[in-house]
Amino acid sequence: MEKTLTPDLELAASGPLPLFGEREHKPTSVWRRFIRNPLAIVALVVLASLAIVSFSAPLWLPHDRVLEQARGETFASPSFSHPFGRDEYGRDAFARAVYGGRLSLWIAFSSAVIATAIGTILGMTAGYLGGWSDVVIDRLIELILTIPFLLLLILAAAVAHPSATSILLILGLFDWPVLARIVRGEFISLRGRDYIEAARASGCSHWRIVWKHILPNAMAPIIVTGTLIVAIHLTSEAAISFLGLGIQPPTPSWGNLLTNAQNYVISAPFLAIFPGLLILITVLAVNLLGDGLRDALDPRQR
Amino acid sequence: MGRFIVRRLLQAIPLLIGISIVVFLMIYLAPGDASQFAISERANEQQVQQYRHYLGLDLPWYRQYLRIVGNWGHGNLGTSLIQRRPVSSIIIQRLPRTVELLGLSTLFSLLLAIPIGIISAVRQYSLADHTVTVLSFVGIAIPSFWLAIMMILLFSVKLHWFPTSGTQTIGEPFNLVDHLKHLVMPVTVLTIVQTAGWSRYMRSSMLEVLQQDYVRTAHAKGLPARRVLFRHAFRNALMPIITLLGLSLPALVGGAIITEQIFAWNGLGQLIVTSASKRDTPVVMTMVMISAVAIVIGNLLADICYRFVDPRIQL
Repeated sequence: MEKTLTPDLELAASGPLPLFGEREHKPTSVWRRFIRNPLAIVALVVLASLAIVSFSAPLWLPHDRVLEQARGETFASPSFSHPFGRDEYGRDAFARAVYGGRLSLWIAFSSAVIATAIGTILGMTAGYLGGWSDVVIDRLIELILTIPFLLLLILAAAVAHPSATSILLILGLFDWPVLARIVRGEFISLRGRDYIEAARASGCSHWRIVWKHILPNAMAPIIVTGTLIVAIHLTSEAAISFLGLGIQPPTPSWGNLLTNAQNYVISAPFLAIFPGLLILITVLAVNLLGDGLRDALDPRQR
Repeated sequence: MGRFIVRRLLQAIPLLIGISIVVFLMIYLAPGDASQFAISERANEQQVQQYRHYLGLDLPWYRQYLRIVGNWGHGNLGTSLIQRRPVSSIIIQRLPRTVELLGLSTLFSLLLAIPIGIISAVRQYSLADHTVTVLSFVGIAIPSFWLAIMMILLFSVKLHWFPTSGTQTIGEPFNLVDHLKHLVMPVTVLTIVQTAGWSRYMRSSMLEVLQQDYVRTAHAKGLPARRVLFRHAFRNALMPIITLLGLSLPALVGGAIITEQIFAWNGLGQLIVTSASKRDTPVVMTMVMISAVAIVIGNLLADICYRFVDPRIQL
């Protein structure tokens, strides 16, 4: 009896159990750990510049440049005025890469937000309520995870009307299971803690317990996994569009620019190099940022 | 052990039924069906309707579904709506192409990833470790289709070492050397992408084991470092790799789909893309079920191997 009594008192005094890191679970210390990681800072700067360049594009790069053809200058090599060269219709490959990236980044980011929201809510429900809702959600997770992700995307994209919105929704609606499983695990381990018991005893509603007492402690894995989902969605969108099932030309996306470039790899290799390099740099930066966030938020992992 | 396997397989049955229904409904509920793709574009509406009736696509959804699944119950995979050939013969024709691609790349990836992971764990923070870390981060982030295009550009277009696509030179009789030459680039692409992830995994797994007390004890006893490494640490560090292998199947399938598409490698991955866009339900469902069964078995085998490597785990 005495054995369990002492730690319980300590816990009660310390408030919500600091799951991640020591006691110092303040934003300032998280930020301090984050900025000590030079790679994560570089990644953040790279991503921020990519986002600023592509989302501010309408201000400095007229959208007409994306489709404007110059029949006399097909496959012109990269030059000062057209840094990525021109494609088979003489269109400006730089403008296409910028606007393609705008679309690709937007799809990857917003679909990751959707997937993270669904995964968090379903994981919370399954982990906190348990019982039949847990069984149903767990089966659903298993069902989706037993179909190879890309196969599922191809199926959904092939039967849907191909558009940016449908790709965005498909990615958002199908890529939540991994996160849901993580959140579910966090909630199962947290809901039995003594401080939750205490909160319940003092009359907290379930709603308040979930949002104020459990979710903040499960935030670290949610943020980290959510970041990594952005990277997965960037490659997935590019892959789907590359296969011709996603964003349809003439609207550019990093994926379909590569499909096109593959046909002209002999005459105009530069068309293939730049969009792929952009995907590589972006995905690399997102992954490094995710790693940096994990180290900062959750130093015990790794 | 036997009971565990039986229980897991029984649990998989409702899961597989669920998957088959979901996949069927996805294709069924989508606008359009196979009849549009199966006959000539010039066919008029009446001919399309006749053909739809002929294919049984005008039946209610549950009857169409039960017909496909009922066929499976009789060991018959059905007939492709587009190619009008038995699904089994289409798949058997293409299966070896995919198996050799995935088998070889998995083998090479393991042969590379395990030693690379061990070296960078044992020499943590050395030049070798940093190099491996940088390369694996790039390898994880690199889009496989772009890597493939860059390899085509370098090794086919510039250096003329390997052919750009296909499984053999068109118009020539099958010749093993020629086939192997076609195999090099797709296998390399898949190997690079897999090795990047797996070596990272092997590294962290080895690092974790090296910090264990029993490894320190073995060192303290005065055992040679090599012996500690291989006898004590390696075996335990291999465990996560076994699970990873079981869990990597979905990603492997995805990798195969992309790689086959780029290299015009006529395996199952290429089949799935064309079949899905032409709403060829029997082919698509068979393919999804094959990969789902493979994933279920892969997970099961991973658990069983786990049990063998670590007898502490009770199944």
